[in-house]
Amino acid sequence: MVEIFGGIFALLLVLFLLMNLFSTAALVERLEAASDEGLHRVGWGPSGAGFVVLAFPTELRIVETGETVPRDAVCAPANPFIAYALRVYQADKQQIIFAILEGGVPTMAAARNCMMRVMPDRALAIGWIIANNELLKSVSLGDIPAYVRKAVTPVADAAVTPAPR
Amino acid sequence: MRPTPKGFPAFAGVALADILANSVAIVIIMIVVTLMVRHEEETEKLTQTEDVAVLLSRELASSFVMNALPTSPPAQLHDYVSSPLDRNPHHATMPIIELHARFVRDYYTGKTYGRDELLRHDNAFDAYLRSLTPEQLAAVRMDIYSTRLFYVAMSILKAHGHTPRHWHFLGGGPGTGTHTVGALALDRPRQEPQDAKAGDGLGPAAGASRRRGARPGAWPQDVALAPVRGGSPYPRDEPAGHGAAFAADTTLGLPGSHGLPAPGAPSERRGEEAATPSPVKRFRAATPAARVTAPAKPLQFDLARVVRGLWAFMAAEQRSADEGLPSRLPRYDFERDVLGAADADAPSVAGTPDAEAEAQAVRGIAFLLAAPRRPDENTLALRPKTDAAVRGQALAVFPNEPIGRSLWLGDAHQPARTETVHEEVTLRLGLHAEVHAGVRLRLGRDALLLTPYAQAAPDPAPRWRVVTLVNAARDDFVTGFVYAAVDAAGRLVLPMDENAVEVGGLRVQSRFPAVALRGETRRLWLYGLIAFVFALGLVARYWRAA
Repeated sequence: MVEIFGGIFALLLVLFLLMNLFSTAALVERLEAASDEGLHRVGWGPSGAGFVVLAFPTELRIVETGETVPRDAVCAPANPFIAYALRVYQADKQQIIFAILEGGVPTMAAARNCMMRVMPDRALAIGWIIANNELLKSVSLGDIPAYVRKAVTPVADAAVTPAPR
Repeated sequence: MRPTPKGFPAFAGVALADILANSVAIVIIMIVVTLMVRHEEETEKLTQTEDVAVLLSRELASSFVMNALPTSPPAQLHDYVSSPLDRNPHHATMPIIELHARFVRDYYTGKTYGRDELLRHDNAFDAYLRSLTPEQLAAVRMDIYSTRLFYVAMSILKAHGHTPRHWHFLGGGPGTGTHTVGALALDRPRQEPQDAKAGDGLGPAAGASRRRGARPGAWPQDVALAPVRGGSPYPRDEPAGHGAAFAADTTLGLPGSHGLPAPGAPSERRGEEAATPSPVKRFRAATPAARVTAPAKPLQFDLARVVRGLWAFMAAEQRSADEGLPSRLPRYDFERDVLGAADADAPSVAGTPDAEAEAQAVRGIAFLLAAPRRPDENTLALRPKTDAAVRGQALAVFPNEPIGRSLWLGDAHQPARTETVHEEVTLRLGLHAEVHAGVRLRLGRDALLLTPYAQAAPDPAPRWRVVTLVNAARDDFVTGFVYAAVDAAGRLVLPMDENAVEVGGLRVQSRFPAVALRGETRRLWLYGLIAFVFALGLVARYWRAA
């Protein structure tokens, strides 16, 4: 009896570890499948192109490669983000675009600081998009609130309220 | 059945089997729960990724990315400490709006605007933006701690026809860190400044020289995201420098107390503590001593002229600060600002009785400055005292006279103290009338805190005041801002928190009472009352039915 239950217990523990590993691998695989040209690379006209990196609250996800970097290890030696940033900024008129999801500001700030640290002598340019839950929901529902539209409307077209002196 | 080993009871095998069986059940439950949680996380992340994909799809990219987003052109990164953009944060020149998860906050006044308020037409945030001049609106800096209210705030700002000039993305935020209340935050030992050592600290030149490839002005907009580079934002500075920053041929020649009548009895000069007057004096704003440049030629002046000039300069600077104008201290020039002010102020000193009293005070201070001290130790005696007029904790010292002992004031909420403490005391001396850029200086025994002559009147409301801290050796004159009030006895009351006072190398933090009857508590009472009335109604109904 003891041997049977002990054996099952050990097997289940191994199974538990395997499940965790496989679920992470499966997520990366699914994300890689989603990383088509329209998602990871954004044309920026005369300014070149931007390569999208998603800033989640706890991790940074490079869409093109599907790699994930925990927030605390964004600037750890030999991590995928540093290699990716160095590759992107090798060419002129290429920059990283941070899609900042809800709660992702600290992650984006850490990544940005890391870029300044690893390329201290270069003029670095980035793009960023605030993709908070409010915006994502409204986009997926196809119902963008008026104030979001107003926020993303160029200034020249916005209804200008004259400020009294 | 297998025989039980000697020493184990007969039921041991059964109990172990039970334990293992239960463990198996627990592991199965763990696996199921973990799978569910992981699946949920995956689904959420995939959904968000797909949403971003939709956002960046070709149709929407043109509207959201190419033309519309505030950072539509690539934005250049810069160091927000050393960048010229952030050189002089002041409401008059650069309004700062902070975006938090639940509110938008004005950095300077601390006024917050909640989401409900922001969604109202013509709300208080609108009124705040209307109060800004077009120049101020064009110079707005946005500090982003959370993105939740980004589009709401941006829509309001856009309605006023402007986008922020530049942005700071900040990890964490005020109040998100661990806060230790009480007299001394024992878990926060002072971090020695790395900025000053590395020569890469505060100041506009530091970061600019580091980023040689930067092309300022090449980009239409700017992003500034860097946190303060490691260490304290206020480099610690030793006032007892004995002019080490200057070469011997570029010293400021001081004739000492020539021509000064002794205002007090000779016994006031404690012979055993008096030191030889240093021939080298250093006059500077609240910047590290290493960055002070020596004058091109030796200057000749007497101490009375220095005091008159310092008072006049400090008074002018105080007026500017009171009117909300930017500080001139970053461009401090002793010959122009102090000696020039002394010459301009000289005619008004003679004549009226007030002017005569002021002249006498000048001579008194000059006499003190001509008598350097060499204290045996760098500590300051702090006598605890409870004062209801003080909010939190504060340090009280008499200005314009050698500091002997000071009061450690605290309101009723602070930990009770009875014994006088002898500790090294340092405080922040700011370069601006804001919590920004400055140096940490020791407030030692026999040091002098000079304030403008007119500030001797009691003023219980703390505000930014210009002072000059003179060390005990009387060879280092540092002018800067402290946040202080003046009590009825004429003491300068320096709140510990705002002036970043450290006692014994540990930052002092005040304990503030919790807010009574917060909104949540009120709502809880309301819902409780409604539930009670409802329950009472039910009971009454059943009572009548019975």
